[in-house]
Amino acid sequence: MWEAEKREKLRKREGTFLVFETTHLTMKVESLFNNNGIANRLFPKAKGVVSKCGLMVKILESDLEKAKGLCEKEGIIINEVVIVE
Amino acid sequence: MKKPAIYMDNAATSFPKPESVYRAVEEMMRTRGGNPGRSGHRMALAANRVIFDARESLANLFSIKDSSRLIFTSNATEALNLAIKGIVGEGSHVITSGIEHSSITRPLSALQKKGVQVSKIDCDKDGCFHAEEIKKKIKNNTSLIALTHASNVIGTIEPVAGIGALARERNVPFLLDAAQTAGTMPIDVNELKIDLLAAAGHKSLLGMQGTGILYIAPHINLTPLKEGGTGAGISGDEQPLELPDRFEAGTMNTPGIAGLGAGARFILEEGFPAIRQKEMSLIKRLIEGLAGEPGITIYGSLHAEERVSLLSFNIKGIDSSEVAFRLDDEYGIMTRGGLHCAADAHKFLGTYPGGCVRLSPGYFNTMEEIDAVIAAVREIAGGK
Repeated sequence: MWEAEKREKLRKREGTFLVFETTHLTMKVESLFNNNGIANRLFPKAKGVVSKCGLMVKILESDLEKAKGLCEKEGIIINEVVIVE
Repeated sequence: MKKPAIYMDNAATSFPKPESVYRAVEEMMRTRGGNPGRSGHRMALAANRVIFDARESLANLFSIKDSSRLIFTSNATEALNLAIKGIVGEGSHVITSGIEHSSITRPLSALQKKGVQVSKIDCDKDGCFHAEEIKKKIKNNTSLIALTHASNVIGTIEPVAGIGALARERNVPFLLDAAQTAGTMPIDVNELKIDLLAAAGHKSLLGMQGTGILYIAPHINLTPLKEGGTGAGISGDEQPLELPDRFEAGTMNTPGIAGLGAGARFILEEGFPAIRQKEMSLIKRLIEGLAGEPGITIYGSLHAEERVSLLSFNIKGIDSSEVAFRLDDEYGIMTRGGLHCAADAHKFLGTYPGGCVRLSPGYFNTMEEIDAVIAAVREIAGGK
């Protein structure tokens, strides 16, 4: 659903990831981001990352502040912002 | 020529389902059959999305702000057991009514054997209970008020708004059994001050059998009925505290939930006014066609607007199971005779142990089918 350039960036395992408490919250965030034009992709958690649901939401670094703002507005707590290099 | 079959047992299980429900179940099994929450591959994620969408649609139906507080169960019975056994502690007191389904009376009876006190409030002649009666029964140790929104035998819609307000004022959790009302009329958990809402997925929510839901208000703390796996990630010995995981141990009925979500979306698209109007018009015709007929006794209110879409009756001198059998065998009309898993309601009506015949039209029944049912019941009552 995203433009080719964003899709390519989202495909890689490196980048900016958000971690949430439950699978339900992760799905909620995916839906929220999709509805608000924040390109995203779900990944299994990276090594060393604490994620109870085993998932992380990858976004583009340029969308991080917008993503944080949206989550805050919806009362969704981001457990961790993970930068994978 | 054999007459076409008429399904008139929607209070037990709705039939048929909307096409979208059949499609959702099949699509889930054929193309998204991964285990939700257990893996990170595309089919597991697709299953997660189906469950999330279903949860959101159902939350929307009941004006639930945070859909994580809507738990999927295997039926209304499991939801009610979770609500009752998860909140009622040793030495406490529960208020219920004398017309409840076994899914409330039996868990309470089991708790009574462990020392829990149970008070049953009286109803008026139409099976309607009132906040004043409940007020008289509240004690310092009352830990739950557990009531039906509409008896599955009598069908009268109970005035629960006043009861919710009273329960909230007295700080007693209020559990509403909406097995017969969810999907047929608006239920706003905030407006009605419902702390725990239980419903079956396979009745008027139009999903398949083996599905149910429980809403748990944010201020309610329940003990889970079961513990077990809740998905990938951290694996400790303790059940997680977060909802919905806390109450959804084990692999879920994902195809069933997919269908239930489609059922909820169908109801949202049709709208409660259309559904309620249609079902009321069917019941109104049934009442007009059977009330006052020689040998026929109808139970509950004779005003369609006070009822859900079910009407129970007896024919003088014929056992209810015999009437139900003849309707099926001779007329192709499927109804339910007997006690309907609600012995207390029959004791209240004076129809215990023989029970009665229950006609329960659904959204997909037609007026022509209702007329055929009226003619058949009249014929049997007339001694044919």
